[in-house]
Amino acid sequence: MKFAQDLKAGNVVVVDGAPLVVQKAEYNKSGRNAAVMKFKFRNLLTGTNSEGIYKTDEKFEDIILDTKEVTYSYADGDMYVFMDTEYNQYELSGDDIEGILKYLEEQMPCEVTFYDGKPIAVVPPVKIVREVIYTEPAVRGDTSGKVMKPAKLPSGYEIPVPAFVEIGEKIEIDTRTDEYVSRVK
Amino acid sequence: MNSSPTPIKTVDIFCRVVDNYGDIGVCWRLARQLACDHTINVRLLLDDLSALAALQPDHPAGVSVIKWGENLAYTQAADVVIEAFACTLPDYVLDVLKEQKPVWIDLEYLSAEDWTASCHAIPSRHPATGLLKTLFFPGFDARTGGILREKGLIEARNSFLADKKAQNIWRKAHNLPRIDINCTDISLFAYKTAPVEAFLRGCETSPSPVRVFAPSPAGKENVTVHGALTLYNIPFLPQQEYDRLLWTCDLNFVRGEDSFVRAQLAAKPFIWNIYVQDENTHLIKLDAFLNTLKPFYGVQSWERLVFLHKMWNEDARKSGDMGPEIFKSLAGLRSGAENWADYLVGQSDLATRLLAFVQSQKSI
Repeated sequence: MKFAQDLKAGNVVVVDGAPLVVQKAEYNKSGRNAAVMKFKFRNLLTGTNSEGIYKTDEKFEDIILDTKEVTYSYADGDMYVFMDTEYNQYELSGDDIEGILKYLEEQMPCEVTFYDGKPIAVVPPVKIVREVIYTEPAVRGDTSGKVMKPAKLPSGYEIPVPAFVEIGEKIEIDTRTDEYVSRVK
Repeated sequence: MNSSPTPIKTVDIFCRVVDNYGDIGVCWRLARQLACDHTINVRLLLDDLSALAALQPDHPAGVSVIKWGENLAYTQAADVVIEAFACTLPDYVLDVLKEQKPVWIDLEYLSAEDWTASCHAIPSRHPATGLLKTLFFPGFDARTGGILREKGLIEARNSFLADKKAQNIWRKAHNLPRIDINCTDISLFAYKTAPVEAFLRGCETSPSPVRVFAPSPAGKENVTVHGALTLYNIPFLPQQEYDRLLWTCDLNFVRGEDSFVRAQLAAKPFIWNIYVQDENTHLIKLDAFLNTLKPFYGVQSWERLVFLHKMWNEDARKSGDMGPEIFKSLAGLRSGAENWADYLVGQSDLATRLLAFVQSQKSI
């Protein structure tokens, strides 16, 4: 069993007897509301997509599937090609890997998940490092880390970072929560 | 042949009283509105009946209150089962739900944050039971569940405010002073985290008289004078009486969720004391709300509103300055509060949206 907050893109869970692959997982929390996860699922039997909103402490039955270490090679239209160490190539659609498109870079190490011999999802490393290509100027003297501002990554994706982060700096990101972790010297 | 969905006749609302009166206040209002405005039979299942007693509710037909505990014999689910504020239904209730398959709603807290709109009213297959469960997020626009507002509220407010005699009769009945245009009247309801003492000290040096009405923790009434400030410690008021206090004041300090919503519908200036959360997540929620208000206030009034909220919720050191800041801003704050209230009143209310959503689920 896995808590909803521990599920990430590429995980497969069983809900009401149907195997669902998580294509995208978003964490949301604030104020007094319970923290919730918003998932985009694909039913592996029917191919239909669905959304689901769950409290983070909801428990799911997960399925352990075959996986393989790969690196991202290139995009071909809407298909994304990954390669293992024996030069086998695996193609996945943009929908299959929607949750990680924002982090994708050539030669990025990932893990491909297989169901019935077919690649169905890609899981990125838990921690990745990316350069900030744009953010508002740093706030002088504010080193608390409590005041956040948006920062743009090379993919165009924006992530909240502390006010002291500057353009050109590299930051570590937790891909499970899409949250800033630290600056990388 | 088209078959119209069965009308919703019954609703169960489960609520745990965590602290204070916010959760129970919202649940009671929802129960009351479903019963009175939509003629639905509501069972309000509470784990602590004493919390409801403190609100001194009336007893409208159609609402029954039941103690929820280990001994609850729950054998028949209503058409709709509402799990308020993630209170987590026990297994013996879930067993009944699995068998009878009512529409299952998880009513969440009110927020202006964008993510709540994107997560609102998406039926999701519950992993443990296989039932569809839907998180329902109250909010301030059409993408969300709206806010609670009973039928006739605005008419009652306007009629009361147009009748000075009625206002003074009400005030007298509650041992409060007559309306006086030379005085600034303030209702004050805040958490212990708010810098109340510093604010009151600031009021003492106001150039004009200030009258503050604050619920007394012990329910003991008294009146004390400190310079320009007259402080009235008043008893905890029932919900409908509290509305009248909000309506007759020039400024209302409110907290949590229930009084926060009522202050907005009062169309009077208000300062919100938000419930403090770990990692300051409540400040993100506060910012989202203040940003939502921006188009409804003049530029300077909105900046003043933000400044006052920051002092009340974040920077206690400066709160002694709040009095003078507020008094010179009241006209602009009043205009913004009226615009905002008009915007809210132009939307359908939470109970109506909830029932429309449930009906849409029953037709599937």
